[in-house]
Amino acid sequence: MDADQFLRLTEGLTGTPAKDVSDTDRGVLTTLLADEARPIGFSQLNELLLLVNKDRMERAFYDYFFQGPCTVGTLAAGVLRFQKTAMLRFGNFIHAYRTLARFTSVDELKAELGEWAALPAALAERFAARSPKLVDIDLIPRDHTSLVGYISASEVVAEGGRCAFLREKLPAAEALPVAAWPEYEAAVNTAGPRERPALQGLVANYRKKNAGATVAQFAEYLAGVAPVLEGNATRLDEVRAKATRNQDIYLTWDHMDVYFATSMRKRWEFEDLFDFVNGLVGHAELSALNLRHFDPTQAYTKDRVDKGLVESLMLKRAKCTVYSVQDTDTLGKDSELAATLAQGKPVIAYVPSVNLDDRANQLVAEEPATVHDRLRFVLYADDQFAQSVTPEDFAFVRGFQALEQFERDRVWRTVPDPASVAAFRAAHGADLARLCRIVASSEARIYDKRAKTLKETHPLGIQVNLATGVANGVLVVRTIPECAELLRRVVTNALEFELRETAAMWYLEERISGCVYRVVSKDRKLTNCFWNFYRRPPD
Amino acid sequence: MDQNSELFLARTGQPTRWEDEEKATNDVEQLRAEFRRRLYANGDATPPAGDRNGAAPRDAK
Repeated sequence: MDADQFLRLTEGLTGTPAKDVSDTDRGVLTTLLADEARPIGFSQLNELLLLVNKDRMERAFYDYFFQGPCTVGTLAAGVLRFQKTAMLRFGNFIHAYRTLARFTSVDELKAELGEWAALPAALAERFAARSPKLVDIDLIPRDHTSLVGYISASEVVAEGGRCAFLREKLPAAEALPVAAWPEYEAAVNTAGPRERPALQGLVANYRKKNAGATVAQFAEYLAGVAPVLEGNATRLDEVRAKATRNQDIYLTWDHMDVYFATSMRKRWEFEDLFDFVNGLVGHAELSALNLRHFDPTQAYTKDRVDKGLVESLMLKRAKCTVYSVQDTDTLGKDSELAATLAQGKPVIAYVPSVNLDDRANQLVAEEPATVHDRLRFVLYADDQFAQSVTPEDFAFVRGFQALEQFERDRVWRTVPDPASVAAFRAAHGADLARLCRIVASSEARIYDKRAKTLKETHPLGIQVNLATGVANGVLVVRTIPECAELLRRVVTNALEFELRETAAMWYLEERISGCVYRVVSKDRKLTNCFWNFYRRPPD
Repeated sequence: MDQNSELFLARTGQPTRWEDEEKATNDVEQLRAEFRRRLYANGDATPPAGDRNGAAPRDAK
């Protein structure tokens, strides 16, 4: 090691430039540091620091960061260990060195470092040794989870209400055999003006599917459908009751480790999140830790104010947030991301990586209405759609209106109609497969762009712990195994970083996600102003 | 209008139904009451007796 290399090490250690080092001092350094194998003891390192006009350190600092037999050749590793810890805990080097170098015992130093000094194996043991849950939630099955949301609930309420109304307007039993459509339709038209089109459409769709059917046959049809709709209403009430109890159970848990931030409206968003949450928490990487998580597909709060308070409590209690990048990016989910970062806790953003073949096949197996919704979503969210498809595919998407027609012709949304779906697939199978592949390609573009935005371009992909000023970056992953490994490392203090330096900053790059987790700016004006206010005692 | 916007509008021309609209509430009883009011909104039709006591919906967001 030469004198310049040592001076750069001392700058990294103290966070300030080495000043007024004379040629004589440089000459001494050159001699002392020529042998990489030369042992450097605690007092010797301090003598070197004082030689270049830097503050000395106490023994605890030396023992903690320059572990083992310290030599000229291992000095850089000790400084690197300090820099990483300083960035994690303090967000800068100057204050970190001034604080940590003064502790006279390693225990005091570790206490200052808190979680960042904890050993991964000890933390893993602590998780494994926790008592099991006294009361667990009552799992709502995947295909019922959307009933926790307002769209599915509204569909159940509306279709039940429409069926009851249509039955109420039927003529009396003795008049049914001779009832005529014009009189019945006139009775239906007494509904509120905003609801009339839906009711008229419902009757018209029935008559289109059942050419020549009489009002009496429609009455029979409604009598057959009504129990299905009533069953939906009962299931809605049961799911809501179960989700309400689950909410209470979540509130009483003495441990809460992971919060899932998400925005769910459509059915598939609930089901996708259900799959993701269960795939993640059931992963082998995490099973030994007995982590506890708050799953929003399993909980319900009637009042929006209480719901906000519950979520705020979960954000306060959880050790980290897993942010699921789904179709809808909303104020709620983004606020949860920000609230987590502002507390200095990690946010793992999961952006699904789309495998085109798998995804296209998955979409083909969905109901046509779902494919239609997905198409509408990608046309809304993919601003490069027109530019990214071939002219032939663009013309095909423009002209393929069978999905809309299927949607328009449906009598009910909440009553399964397998015959119609099978007929649609038989008539449009090839076109449907082509469309699903186009939609899957667009989904891949959308998710790739969202991952890039969070990881590379959005300034708020890195926010600040409001209590300490430590910069805190979002960790973006694209697969469940990556997410599971990252989550395990987050909760057991086992994250691994590379320290990178550019002309503008130092940053810690997390190994699995490749994301920036901590930064120290080299802008002097910004740094001075920033820490003057963040390190200032409260007014 | 660019190609994306034109295509989007061409594929989303369907009228929106009540259940697709964003709601001020996610409470089932309030949703039921809100829907009943919509169904019987013009005074020509009287809601069945059992349906008259639904809770009022909250104000819109």
